[in-house]
Amino acid sequence: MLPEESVKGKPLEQTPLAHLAARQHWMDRFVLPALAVLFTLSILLIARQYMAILAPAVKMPGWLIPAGAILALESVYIAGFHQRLRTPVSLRVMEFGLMLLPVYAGLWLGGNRHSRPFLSLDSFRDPHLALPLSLAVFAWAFARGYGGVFAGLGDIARDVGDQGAATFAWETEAYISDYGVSQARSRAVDYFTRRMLFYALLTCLFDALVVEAFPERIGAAAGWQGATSFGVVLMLMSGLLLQACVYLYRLHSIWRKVGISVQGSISGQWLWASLVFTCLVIILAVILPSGLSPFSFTGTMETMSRWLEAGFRMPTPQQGAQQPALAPPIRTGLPRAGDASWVAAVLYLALMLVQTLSVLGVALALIGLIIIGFLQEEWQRLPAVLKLPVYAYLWVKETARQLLAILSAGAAGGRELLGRLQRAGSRLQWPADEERRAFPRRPSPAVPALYIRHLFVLLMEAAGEQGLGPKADHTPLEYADALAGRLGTGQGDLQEFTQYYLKARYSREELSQDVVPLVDSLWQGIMAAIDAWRTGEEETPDSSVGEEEPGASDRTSSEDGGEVREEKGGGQEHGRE
Amino acid sequence: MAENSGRSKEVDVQYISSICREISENINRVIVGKAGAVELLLVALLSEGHVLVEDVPGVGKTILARAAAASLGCSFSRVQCTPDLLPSDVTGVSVYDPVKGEFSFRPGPVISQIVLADEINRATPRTQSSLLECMAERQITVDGRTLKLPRPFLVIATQNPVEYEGTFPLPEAQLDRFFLRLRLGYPSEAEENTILERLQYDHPIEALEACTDPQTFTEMQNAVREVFVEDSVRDYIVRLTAATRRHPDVVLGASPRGSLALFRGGQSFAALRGRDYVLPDDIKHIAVSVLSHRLILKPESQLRGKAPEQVVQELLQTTPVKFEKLGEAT
Repeated sequence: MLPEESVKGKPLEQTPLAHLAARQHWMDRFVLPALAVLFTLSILLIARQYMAILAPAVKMPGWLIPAGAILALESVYIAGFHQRLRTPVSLRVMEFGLMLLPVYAGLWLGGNRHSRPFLSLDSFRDPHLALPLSLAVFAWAFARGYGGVFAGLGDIARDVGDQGAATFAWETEAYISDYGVSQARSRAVDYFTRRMLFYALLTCLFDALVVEAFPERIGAAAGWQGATSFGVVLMLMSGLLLQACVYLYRLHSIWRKVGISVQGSISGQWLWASLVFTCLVIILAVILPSGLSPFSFTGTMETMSRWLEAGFRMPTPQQGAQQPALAPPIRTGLPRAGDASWVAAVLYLALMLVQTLSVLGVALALIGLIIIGFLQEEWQRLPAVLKLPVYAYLWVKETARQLLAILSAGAAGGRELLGRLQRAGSRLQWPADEERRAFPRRPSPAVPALYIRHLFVLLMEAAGEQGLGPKADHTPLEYADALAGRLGTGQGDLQEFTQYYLKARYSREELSQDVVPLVDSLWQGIMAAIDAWRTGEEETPDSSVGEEEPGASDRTSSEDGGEVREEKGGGQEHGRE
Repeated sequence: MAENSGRSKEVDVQYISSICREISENINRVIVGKAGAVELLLVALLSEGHVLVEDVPGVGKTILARAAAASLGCSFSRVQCTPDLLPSDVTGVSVYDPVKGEFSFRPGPVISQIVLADEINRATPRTQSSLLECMAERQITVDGRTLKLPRPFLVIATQNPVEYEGTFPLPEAQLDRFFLRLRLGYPSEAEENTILERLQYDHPIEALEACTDPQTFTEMQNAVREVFVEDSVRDYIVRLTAATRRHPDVVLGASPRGSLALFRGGQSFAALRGRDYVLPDDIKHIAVSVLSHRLILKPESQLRGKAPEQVVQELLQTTPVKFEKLGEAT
């Protein structure tokens, strides 16, 4: 709460309600209590769900949840009042009794009394009344803890002193400073993180327990899965948002304390960003199939246990073969109470831990994203424990990046493979197409430069169909040298032809018509060399002429990984086909 | 002076090629086994660029500059850069003449056609920038008087990359003004034997004769500008330079001045080879020398031992020279 010495000139003690109303910041007044109540409500809802499985005989009235929410709301708000005004314990006990009395009365009147007198000690020993009442007590006490923290959250000067509040690292200070001077010196945001993680873990453990022990009760309870998942979603969402808002509130308090002028919309932007990130994570988890979503814990555990079971299934013994004495029994479906082997139990526990860690990792990464988004490089000043969410976020980000890179490389490889297959398909038909071997799509030699360029492109295409295309970094000259080395024959023709091509393409010089017959003959010679290389009619080229040894052609193609690929054997096979 | 340096001759690429071959042979008489470096030096000279020769002491940096000056028949001066060297020591200073009763300008060493700035990184940044201003503007202003520097004007600066104590490394902005950076490297054992043999009595540089004259060389520089650069080659230059700015190991890539240097260098290299058009191979040949000193690598890349030359080599391998396809040529 923001420090307020008086409200409209009256001492705070005389105007407690006015004091409550005069809180300056809307986050303090509405957002933080509301989120704390939501979080409490979700815990209450989840507890009710598991109690319905663990103690199905106990009747849990539907109105218990809203009643718990009201209790939590009162507890959060009144906590600051008690703390600030130092109310005596007797008054607090009276408040506790007054708040719980209607719940008790409701349960007693609603049929949970079992003929026990009103407010008798026996009635408190009756689980039909004591268990629902304990949930209400839990909600009240749980919310009181939040309220107590909120009361000291805005009092920066008390935490760090005026000198401390005047330090330059405002964000760091806001994050790491104590929320209250007490023996249990918890950190401002760390307190909320620990609470949320603890209850998330507890939920997972309870879920594992009921799945393992009472699968038939889960199946019999209509709508149990949906309500539990809703409770978990609510818990994670309100828990994450609560942490974000607490952090923002700390910052806001420091800004007020030291008189820093901050853009008015920053709180709204912060909240909006936090909400969007939280919703994105929740939506992602919700849209996953029920057997894979972390929020549908029961279904996910069931799916994974089935997969695991399929992976560990022993081979079915053949008829007549001797059954090994220690062969594990083969079973399907969820492990049933009493017949699960210790291997299955250990694996089940390991899976549960993996999934729990995954959920926690995502939650941590989300927090880390918020931290790194706000603090930028300053996050490195945080203490080691508080860096954990940022590390989690960076790890998730790097993993995603590498995954995308792998997928991208896979897609590129697939495209290349498709291209090769298409080229191979067209190559199979080539020997039958005699016309194509002699100047396919041949342009008119009216303009010699264009004509030569066209012939060079045809040459490249023909060579490329044999796996002798240019590498990515080849220039035409380099390509011609490499090709000459590969073909082994017609080197002189190729070099001369390339010189004509270079002049035709890169020079301004007009080539005369006289060169056309010469270029034609050169081109035909080169094409014949390519054809000979393809069909394998020529002898293996001398290693002194080529760029590489002919015998090393296959090896070279795998080493350089380029486009000039030598698969002479393959070419010969195609040619024969 | 060689007989084919007459001014009446038409300066075309064949002429440039032949003259440069003579110059190259001339320099190779005193610099053993560094034909590639000499060729790149000629590329820079033809492109009117300045050269930074960076290598360890004793490999012939200064001799290379002196030999180039002697072969071109240009005036030559040398500035030995030291920390107490002042800008006026480079540009010149006005001195009061008591007899005439007026100030007279005494030109500094920079007013020469070929200036050797030896160990430029030993000069203070102030002096370095005064020298580099001359390089960029090709003029000096002293006491309100502006003097045009003679053409050709070429600065060959040397620096020792090993010694750092008492030096002022050239900032990247000033490195960018050098057309290319040369590294000579140690000679092989056979080359070193040849050096010892040649230098037994006299240094052959004393006997070097000019192969051309400054005016002809200026005409050659002008003629080089006429060498044709086809669109795809120009596009290749731009893509190569742009790729330096996107490389993951690079903090600061090559500037447009780098593109221009590649362009001009490609023209000069083509002319050296007797061609009046530039090939992508010409660009690839000079790219490492022209671009590498313009790149600033990330600290982590430097710690990994990565060199700018490696980065340029990688880019040459990954930046494709576009081949024509059917339909494009026709």
